[in-house]
Amino acid sequence: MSNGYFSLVLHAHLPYVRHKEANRLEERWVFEALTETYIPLLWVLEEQPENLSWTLSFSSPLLELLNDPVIQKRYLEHLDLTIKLVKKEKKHSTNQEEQKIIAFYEERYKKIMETYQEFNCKVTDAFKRYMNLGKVNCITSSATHAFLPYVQTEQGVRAQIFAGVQTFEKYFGEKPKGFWLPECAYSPGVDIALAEAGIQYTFVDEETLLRSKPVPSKGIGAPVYSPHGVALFSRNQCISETIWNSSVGYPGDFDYREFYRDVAYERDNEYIKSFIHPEGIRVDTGLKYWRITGKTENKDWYQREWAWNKVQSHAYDFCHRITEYLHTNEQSYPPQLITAPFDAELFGHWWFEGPEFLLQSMKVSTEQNITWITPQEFLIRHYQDLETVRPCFSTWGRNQTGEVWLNESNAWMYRHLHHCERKLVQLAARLSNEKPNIVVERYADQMVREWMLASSSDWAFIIEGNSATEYAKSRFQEHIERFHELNRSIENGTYHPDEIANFENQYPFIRTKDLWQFFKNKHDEYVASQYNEQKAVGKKKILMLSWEFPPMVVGGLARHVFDLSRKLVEQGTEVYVITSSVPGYPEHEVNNGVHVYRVAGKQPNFESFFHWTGSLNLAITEQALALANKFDFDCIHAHDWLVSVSALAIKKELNIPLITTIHATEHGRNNGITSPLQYEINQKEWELMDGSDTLIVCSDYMKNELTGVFSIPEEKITILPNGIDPEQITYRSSPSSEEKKRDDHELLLFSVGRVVKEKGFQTIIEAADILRNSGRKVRFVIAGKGPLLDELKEMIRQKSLEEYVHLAGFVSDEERNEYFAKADAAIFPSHYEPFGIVALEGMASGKLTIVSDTGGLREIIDHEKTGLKVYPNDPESIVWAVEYILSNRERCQDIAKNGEEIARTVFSWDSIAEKTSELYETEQNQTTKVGGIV
Amino acid sequence: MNLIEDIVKLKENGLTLQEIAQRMNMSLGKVQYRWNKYRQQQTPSNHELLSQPVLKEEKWTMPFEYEETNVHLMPRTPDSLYVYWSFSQSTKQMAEQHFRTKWEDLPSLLKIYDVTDIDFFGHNAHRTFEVELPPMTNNWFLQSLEPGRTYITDIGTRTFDGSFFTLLRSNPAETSPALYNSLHDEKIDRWKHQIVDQPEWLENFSTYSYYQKIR
Repeated sequence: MSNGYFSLVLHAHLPYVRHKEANRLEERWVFEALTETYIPLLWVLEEQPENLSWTLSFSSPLLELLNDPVIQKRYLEHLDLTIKLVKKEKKHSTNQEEQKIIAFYEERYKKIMETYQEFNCKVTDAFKRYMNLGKVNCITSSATHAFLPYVQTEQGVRAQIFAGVQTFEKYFGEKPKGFWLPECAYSPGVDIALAEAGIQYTFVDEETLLRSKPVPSKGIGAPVYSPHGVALFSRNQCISETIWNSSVGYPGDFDYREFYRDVAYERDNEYIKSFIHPEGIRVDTGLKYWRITGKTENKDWYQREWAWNKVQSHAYDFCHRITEYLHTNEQSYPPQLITAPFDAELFGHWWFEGPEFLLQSMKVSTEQNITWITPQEFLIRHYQDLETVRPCFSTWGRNQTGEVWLNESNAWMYRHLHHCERKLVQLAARLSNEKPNIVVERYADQMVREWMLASSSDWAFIIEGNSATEYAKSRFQEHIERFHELNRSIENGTYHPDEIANFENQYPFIRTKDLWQFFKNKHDEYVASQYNEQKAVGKKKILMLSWEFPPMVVGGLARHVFDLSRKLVEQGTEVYVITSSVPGYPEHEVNNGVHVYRVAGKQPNFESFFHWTGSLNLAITEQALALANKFDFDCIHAHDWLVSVSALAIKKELNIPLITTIHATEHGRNNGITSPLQYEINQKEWELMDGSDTLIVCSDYMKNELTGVFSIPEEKITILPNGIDPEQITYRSSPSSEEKKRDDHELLLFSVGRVVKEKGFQTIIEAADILRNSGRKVRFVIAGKGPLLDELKEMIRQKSLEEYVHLAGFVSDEERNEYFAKADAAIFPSHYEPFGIVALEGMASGKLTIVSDTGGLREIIDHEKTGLKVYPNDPESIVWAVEYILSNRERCQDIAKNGEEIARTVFSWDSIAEKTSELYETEQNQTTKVGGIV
Repeated sequence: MNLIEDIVKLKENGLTLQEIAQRMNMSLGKVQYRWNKYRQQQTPSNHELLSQPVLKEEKWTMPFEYEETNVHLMPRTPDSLYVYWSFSQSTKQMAEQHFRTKWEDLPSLLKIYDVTDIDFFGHNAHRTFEVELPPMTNNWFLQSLEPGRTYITDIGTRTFDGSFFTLLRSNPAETSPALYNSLHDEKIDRWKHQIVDQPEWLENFSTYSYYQKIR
């Protein structure tokens, strides 16, 4: 007795070839497989030795076909017709050899008919009976034999596996414990769904184990567990090959029946025409009288006794090989296991004598004490003795790779299948939150069926194999087309019970309900339930685009967008800000009621800033359109050229108004356009202005720039000043008492901003130089960082002004407020300043504020009433202001008070947000009115 | 007259001629004769076909691709992978706008990143290489890869100064490892001993969710 096991596994599968109309050629695949394989396998089961069992897998399409009353009836007819032909043959035959064979078929077909009728045409019931007797262990496969690693979504894999399991349960009354992976195609993650479906074991190729990490210590001598706990039994190639290999295997023996020779092609048309296809196409009748004979076209008569002798000797040879293998590869615990899986149709259909060979092998095995075991029994005995490894993607196809199902001839198919999967997820997300609609759900279920029928691995296999490709292509295309038709009916609201009934009847495959539910997703259900409540409130939804947002603060933009957004929220608008990601900050947060989404481009470290923004814009649009899947935005509000590309793309896609605030322009910052990069930015600015429905600027000054430099029509521009929040600049702790009180003739002037040329800080240093030389005790503090910092430092060092000008660098909001509180005045000598929010902050802090008479600053301050104005780029002018303060102390306090009043009322966010809302409203109404013309 | 109508009706319902014969209590030969005669009458001559072009229903054709932003990388062999993709109108428009160049005039490239055991963020691959694509290409077989590695593919274009600019990024996919590649694997050990609660390797399927970018 050998120490080891042998396990036979047959996998029975046909694609779903049931057609409503009769006489489709492909339907004969079922008839042939019944006649030659499935019914003869029942005979094997009837006669096989006691205490011996093997495994048989049925795919869902096959189960559905075998249990379809129409197919059953057509098969009976087909049998009738064949029996008639046998009779006719018997009558006409004159050759004695031929008569012997005809007699064999007469007997055989009689028996086939008997067996088929014995079980009332229900072949699966027969197998179930033998399963209950312990003679065979039936398992199943995926719903339509999809090549699972090439399914895109987890939902799709689950649908295939669970629907397969359910179909099996329907016909066998119990859940399968084993599962046939179509094409033995395994990939990491398949085992999750298998385990969830209660599957304990499945089958892979031997290379799957040999490429695993780590390689199992028993090699292919024992099954292994996948990471998620499914036992993987690997095909033993060496033993299997003796059967399936067409050149070295048994089926090619010259004494076996020739597959390709059939009486259909041997008889006159007139004689045979009622036994072949009604259209006159010659198709196999199943009566094959010849043996392989040799590598010749001249085939000799099939001799049953010869074939039978070969069956016996092959069965002995096979058992001998098994014994040899188990002996040579003996291993201690668990004992060596040979798993030999095959397509069931190999036995009988392709190899006519196959079922007899199996039966003989079983008998010889019993004689020779070779232990046959089913994987299920093996697991009961050895479940504790198996290793866990992580296997990789592999198949039982050519080179154990995916190349048979994915190559130049069939790769195009997957785009369509994956598209269907995603559509189904989308549909499920929608349906799971809508009021149930039985008709729409039937559509959804049928869409799942169409996707399933299209994803059958058979189509890709046939197309790569170049036979019957037309049928495979047209079936694939048909199901994809039907999928889209069904989807269209749902989308257009033209769904109708008659239409869906028609679709269902065309392919009555897996008629269970709620197939679409497999495509649900917990996250989608959550989102659907969350956002529906919000929708009910009916608030306006604004999509706010800004490349900077707190905590990312580069200039005044971040602050502006934040203040505006939260004020809008306070006033009853919903605001969704999309901005750039900041390491350590959440991708999504709700900050003061504002939804903030932080996104990163695919190349977040792009060296070129310009292309970095391009990359960011793609990400912004992706996020915006994803949000728009769930709810409708009313307006887009974009800020500056950095979001130009996404703002315009989103506007086009969603067809909603785009409102853009231009905070500054490249032309203004650089006093003209000189470099190629500036030119590109200038172009982006123009495109954004041109593509926006309306523009907001903060000052007359900016409006003039837009009309002048960019030729923007005046009526497209609205001036809304920037606002400030006095809360943000209030200094909370009292100035420290140690601080020595300044003398009346001493002054502290504070300035803050990005240290760049246009802010004019260098003018302060020049003024300080003059003041020092004239003996004034005036100190300046400049807070902020920027590219010009080093240059300013050097300037101060050269003029030895360290005591008079202090560069504070970056300061926190708190420190800034402290400086405002301590200073006598604030000064902002910018050369270019579209608005000048800092000036407002100076005013709101109650300090006299000195600004350049330029840009937006000019418009904020009324000279000698709410602040002081100086000439830009003119140190003498700053000197004048200092002298003014020193000699008009009380007057200056009044001016500061007036300034504070103006800053806190006219420039309050309350009023600005209100006006912004009104603008949204106007734009929306206009777009609605113009309607289709836009 | 009615006889043939009944036959046609039953035929349309999917019955075979034999079934029809049974149902109508006629001989098969009779039914066959009627049916063939009917079919002959129904087949219009070429001339008639030409004069009735209106009746020809437009056949649905498989789309070449779908107008959506999508890219999917698939496992294939130990040294090859397959990727297919498509662009939405808005992505094309954004590329055109960013580069101020017509879509057709933008160079089309594919960039392959070896991201084995890396939390990839766009710039930290072990190795990368680029493939110039012929125009109108929407899929590619990536060949000569290393076994047992994880790859990501970007579809993109080239900036004027020669940098690769990503338009689409694929899911990661693995080339199968070589035979007998390792006798020990720490990742499976950590998983078995529950030191990690998520597997540290790639599992093939994406939990696709329609609202995945909405929180």
